[in-house]
Amino acid sequence: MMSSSFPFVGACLWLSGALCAQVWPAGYDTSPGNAVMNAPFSVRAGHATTSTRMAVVLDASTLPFAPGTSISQLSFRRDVSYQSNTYGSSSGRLLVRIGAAANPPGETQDVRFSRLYDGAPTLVYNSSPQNPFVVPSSAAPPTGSAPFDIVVPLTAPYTWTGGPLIIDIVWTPDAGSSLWRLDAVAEPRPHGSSRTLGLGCAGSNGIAPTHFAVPESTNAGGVLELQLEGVRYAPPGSPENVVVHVIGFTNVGPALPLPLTVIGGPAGCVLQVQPAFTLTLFTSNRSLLFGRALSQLTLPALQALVGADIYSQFACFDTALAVALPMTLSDVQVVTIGPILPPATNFRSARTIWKYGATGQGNESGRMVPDSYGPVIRFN
Amino acid sequence: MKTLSLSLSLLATAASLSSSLIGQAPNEFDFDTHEYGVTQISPNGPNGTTHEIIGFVSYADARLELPADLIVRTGGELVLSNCELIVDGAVLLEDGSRLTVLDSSFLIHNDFQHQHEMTNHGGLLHTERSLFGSQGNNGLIPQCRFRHLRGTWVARHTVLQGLITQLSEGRHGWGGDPSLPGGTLWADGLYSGNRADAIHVGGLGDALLANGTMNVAFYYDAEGATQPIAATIDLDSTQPLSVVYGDPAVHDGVTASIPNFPRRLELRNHRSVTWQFFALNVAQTGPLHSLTLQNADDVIASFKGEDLAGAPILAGPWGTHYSQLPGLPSTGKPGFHSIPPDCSVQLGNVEFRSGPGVADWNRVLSWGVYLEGTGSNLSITGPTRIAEIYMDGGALSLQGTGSYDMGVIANTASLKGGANLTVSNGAIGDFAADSTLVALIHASEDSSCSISQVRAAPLRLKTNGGLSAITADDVIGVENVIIDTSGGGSVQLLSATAAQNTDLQNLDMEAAGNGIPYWTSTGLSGVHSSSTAPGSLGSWSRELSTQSLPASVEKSLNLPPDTSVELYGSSSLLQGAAPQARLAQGPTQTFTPLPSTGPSFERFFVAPFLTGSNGPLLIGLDAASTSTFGVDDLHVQVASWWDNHNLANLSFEAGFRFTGRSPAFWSAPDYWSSTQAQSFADSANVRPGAAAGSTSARIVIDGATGAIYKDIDYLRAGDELVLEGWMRGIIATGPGWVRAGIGDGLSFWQPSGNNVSTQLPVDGSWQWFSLTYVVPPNPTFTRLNLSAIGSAGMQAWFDDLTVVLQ
Repeated sequence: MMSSSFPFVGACLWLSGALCAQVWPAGYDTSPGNAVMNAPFSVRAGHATTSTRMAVVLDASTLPFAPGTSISQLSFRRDVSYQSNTYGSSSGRLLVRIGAAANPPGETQDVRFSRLYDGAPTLVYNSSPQNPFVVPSSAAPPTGSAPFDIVVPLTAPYTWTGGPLIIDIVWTPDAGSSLWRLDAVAEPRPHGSSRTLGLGCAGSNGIAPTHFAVPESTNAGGVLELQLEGVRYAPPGSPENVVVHVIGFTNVGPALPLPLTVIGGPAGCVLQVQPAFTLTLFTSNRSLLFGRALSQLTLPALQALVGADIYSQFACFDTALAVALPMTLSDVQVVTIGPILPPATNFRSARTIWKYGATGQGNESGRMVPDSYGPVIRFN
Repeated sequence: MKTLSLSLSLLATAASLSSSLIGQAPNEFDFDTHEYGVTQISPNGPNGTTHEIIGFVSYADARLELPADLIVRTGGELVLSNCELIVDGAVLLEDGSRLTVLDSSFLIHNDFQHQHEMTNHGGLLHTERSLFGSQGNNGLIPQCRFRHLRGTWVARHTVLQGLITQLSEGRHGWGGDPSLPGGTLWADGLYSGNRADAIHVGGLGDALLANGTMNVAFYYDAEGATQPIAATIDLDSTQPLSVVYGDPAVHDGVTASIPNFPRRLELRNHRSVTWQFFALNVAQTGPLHSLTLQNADDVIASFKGEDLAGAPILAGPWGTHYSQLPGLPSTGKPGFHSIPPDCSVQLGNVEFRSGPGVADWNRVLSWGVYLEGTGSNLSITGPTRIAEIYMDGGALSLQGTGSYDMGVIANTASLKGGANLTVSNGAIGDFAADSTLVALIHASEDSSCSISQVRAAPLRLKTNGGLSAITADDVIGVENVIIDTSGGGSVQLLSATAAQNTDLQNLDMEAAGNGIPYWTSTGLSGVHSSSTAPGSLGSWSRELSTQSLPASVEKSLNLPPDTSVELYGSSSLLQGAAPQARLAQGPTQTFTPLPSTGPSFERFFVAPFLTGSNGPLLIGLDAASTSTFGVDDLHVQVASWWDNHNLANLSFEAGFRFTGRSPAFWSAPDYWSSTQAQSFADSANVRPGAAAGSTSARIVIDGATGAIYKDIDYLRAGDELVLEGWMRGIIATGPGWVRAGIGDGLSFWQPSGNNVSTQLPVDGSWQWFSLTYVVPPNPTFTRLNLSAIGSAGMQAWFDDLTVVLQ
């Protein structure tokens, strides 16, 4: 876990304003990170260009130096996950910009590189064809962390004045491709998954009620949310305003699958969940199309629950159906519960946006994961 | 809420969670699937052109290509995890299907706009930590449509690329099919990637957008109201919004009430960086829908209606803000009109007002016009920018008032059902320097289009069906026009005959034949000569000899007023006195002596001539008595205030119409572009000796540097350009400089090659400068750059430049 408190910087001396070597994030000077990052120094064939771009936004509270510090050098080290891989040397064009980020990592919700900045960045390194940047070769990693072999001496030092910091790097190897994976850190929040196991049956509105599990709600210790759509719309007070959520731990049972026709329901509707318990819910938030329901189920923070399957199906009233039991059934979802996680927080120590086949232009967009993810960086 | 309590015995068989949600190594989120070789997925459908997903199919850690349509059938489910899948075909999700895209790229390959599309007819689409959309060739991203007509899309941390997402349209379902009313979108972290267009929230399907940046197209449906409706729509693009639009009589949690609104649209800390706003089902009569735009900065707005007639109605004190009124007020070139406070524009029974405050301006970047019905008869006259046109019957007349200021970008201009489109004094296509658009005017069935007096950027004129027809006359930029009649119909791009002089043919003097084809000759004889001007791309020049007086050759061009025309070329003097070039329109004419040094070709340049309304522009070469001279490699540069490929307005007296694009608003002098700077006319600070009442250009930079510039793309290697003028600057704190530079291409600023510049420290005084630049071999374009270097807020002034080209 990376610290969100202001780091201890006293271990390094400050001489004439120059920054001694400080590693981000704190505590990773000699310990390897728990993640791998391919960008920016890995360029594979088949993309629109032979450039890779990486912009990392770092939270101010995690930077291992104080505001007002002048940064004169950035260094990176290789990963330790690919134990058998050696990385060859390559030379090419390297462009590095540093600036103030528009938002801290936890509030970064944009993938357009130009919009990541607060104001104009500073071009701190720009190699020339006469003096290309050289990425050194790297042997298979030793035990522990690798040395900081990639060293970028900034031609224009950058003074950090506080606030979130962004480092934006574009790498274009002369040979057209390169492979050099960086040591990185991440705080992933993997969640569970869901699948559709069976179909629902259409009501008088022509729509079969369907539902889905809200992805980030599928962890043990959280509140599982299952959103239902497609309930026949009817005025308040109608039976359609109520749905029954059937929850079980198996879709196998002596009476399953159970066609509703057996008990007077419409044709094509089949109960496919062995009920462990049911919830009765009111529809809400209706659209002109149909009613909705949100079922919330608190999942205990039990390790034994992780990986378990929960089966879900809704029963919905539809009084326009001319049958004894005017009811439709939704599709069947099976939710596989994800790991126990600490409470969610908006804090992120770092967010990284990457782009293979980059142009280096401001208006291009990259990709981003929602969690903390950034390369281990040594600042001088 | 229910708490799950269960016997651990039930979980005895629970498996541990798969780690398939992450990359090759633990937490390798940015793993590049291009490390893998490509795996082809073969068609398996009955006709060999589709791949059908019937049961549960899962791919992980793979780079996949499918050269066929993809259909996920009812009950089928396709799961991609850590994959890239390129589908070279259409994609269909049937009712009850499911597509799950996790940590992957799911892209539809398109060679051109709308080649393929994706449709959801009731499936559950789940995208998470993924790239989703369209992919083209060589980095280009043609857009394709995703018609989300039914079903649900759960989007989490998904980047959209090249995708126009349409949640149906109107109250009656897609194409009138009530079973396709619009899907639900449930998004948290939906991001606008390259060319991602917008989420068109247009049908009955509801949308929740949280914590993202995807553009939103807001649809207002004017159908079904029995009394006037007024609503205010916040279109702030600068920050995330949290708002619930809906009809509180139907929807829950509404914070912005819109009576009769057919859907629920919730933005939860979501920023739409570019808004689109559609008024649907606009009617010629009926209750007025008064829509107040709030915080609209460069919104793309559209009207769609049946049998609309007449012209847009501008109401309010427009005249106190503008001397020239717009057709439809747009801020995108060639438009230059924001909507002033208390002003509105109305078409049919829908008006867009600027507000809500009494001092609030709003900006519409460009417009879409969608007309249905044979009763449509709409006329729009004046500066504007229309991005898209769809017509099903009826007539639409688009006319500029000068400077080719009827902008028709024509992302698509689609005509059918006997529709007739007329465009005159217009600019068709996208003239932006970085545009890759090939505009499209597509007339099908028995529809027609008539174009006259236009400038054309890359443009495809396409007909379908034997009765469809397009005619175009007086087109500047014919070399940019692609004619496509492969589907039937006719396209006529009218051009002069060799005996006529009404277009730009034979400027290069390559046309064979006696005299001087495509020019009108008086008192001159002409012969072909194999002596060509240096740098000429052709094989011939023309030698002209005086036979009688007056002696001249002449072209007659039909140009709109407020158009700048420059003439370049090479001439030689073989006998007698040198001729002169003449630009004339009505009583206004200029004369420029041509080189007189001898039989070798020399370059000449005729300074810009600004057209008025006095008939055709005459471009003549007037000979003296008993003279023989050679001409070769002529070039006529037609320019408008809204482009920068010219040498017009060097004195900065022509105006400052362009107010820049949101959010930076880098405004520019007419005939110039700007970057990182706002520009203003300044009559209080002019260079020493300037004419009374004249103006200079003042710029205020946004950061460490900012500039105004021109990009001249028609100079020859070896051309010598002498730029002289005046500049000054002031800066509040720290050092600052003003700089004038000329260089080649985007590397113009580098001190290398033939690039030249002068950089002067600022002290508030006017300083004169002179630069001489020689165009290098194989030039990209020549950038004339006037910049300020210092810090944000620094000001610089430039005045009375002159250019000598030789």
